[in-house]
Amino acid sequence: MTAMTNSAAAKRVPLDPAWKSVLDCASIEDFEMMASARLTAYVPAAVQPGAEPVSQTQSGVTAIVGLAGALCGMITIRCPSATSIKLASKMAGDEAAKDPNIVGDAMGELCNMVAGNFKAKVTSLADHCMLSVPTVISGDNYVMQVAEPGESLTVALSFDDSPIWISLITQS
Amino acid sequence: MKKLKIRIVDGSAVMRKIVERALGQAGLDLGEVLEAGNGAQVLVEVQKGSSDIIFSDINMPVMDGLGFLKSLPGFETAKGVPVIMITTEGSQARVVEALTAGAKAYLRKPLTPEQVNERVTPLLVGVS
Repeated sequence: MTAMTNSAAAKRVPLDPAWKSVLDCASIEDFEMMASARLTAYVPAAVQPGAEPVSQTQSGVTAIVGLAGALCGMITIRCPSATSIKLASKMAGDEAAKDPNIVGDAMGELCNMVAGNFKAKVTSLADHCMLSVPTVISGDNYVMQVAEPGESLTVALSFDDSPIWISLITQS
Repeated sequence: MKKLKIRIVDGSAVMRKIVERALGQAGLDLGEVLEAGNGAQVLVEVQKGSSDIIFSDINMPVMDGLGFLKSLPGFETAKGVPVIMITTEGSQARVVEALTAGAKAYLRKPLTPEQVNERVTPLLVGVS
């Protein structure tokens, strides 16, 4: 990540709950442009009485882009493996999407685009926040831990009836 | 009309394909398309031969786009070859830094045909 100037690094911007709609908008725009994927609001199925509680562990793919400067933390995109393959297929073609490295690459770039678009839409961040190169985690039953977690906000969207969670997580 | 020999430099193989597709959709007559994953890789390739235009990301591992841009004047094969920066980093500071370092234009991801036609096509007038 490129070094920030001292003045830019010193002026921290607190997370604004209104950014949820900005994150929602940035995600819908970038998935449409990058993957021709139209995202809609995700409506989870009703939880049945007596059902097992939702697990805190994660499965599938999580793409992460770090934020530094006026806002420290990360933007993540999480979805089931099958959804990540569908998205990669739309971005790079069916044959390429058979390669797990291409799937990870596609998810990382989607996260990079959403992070860039999000910060460009927030005036106080645009010139004062830097992005890391993407990191992608995939597998079953993993837990993502954040050092010095602060606040977070998450938008739940749906592609082909499958959930995609996009989160902004700040560090305190 | 001569087909364009271009270089696309981006850490993501998927993004390199998307950039190539977007340039074609914008009407550029693409010939040979050479790809590299970072600034250091493309410098090795630049030593071997010239191209008509170079498109480079900024945020890349090993050597980023600004480092690549600053190293490029040392290569005879790169003289007069326009470099276009393509990135998610749309901040004014990064634009100024890239243009000061020698970039001829700056495109924001995701590329649109309008952006390409407005900022890239004029740079290719003498080429094709």
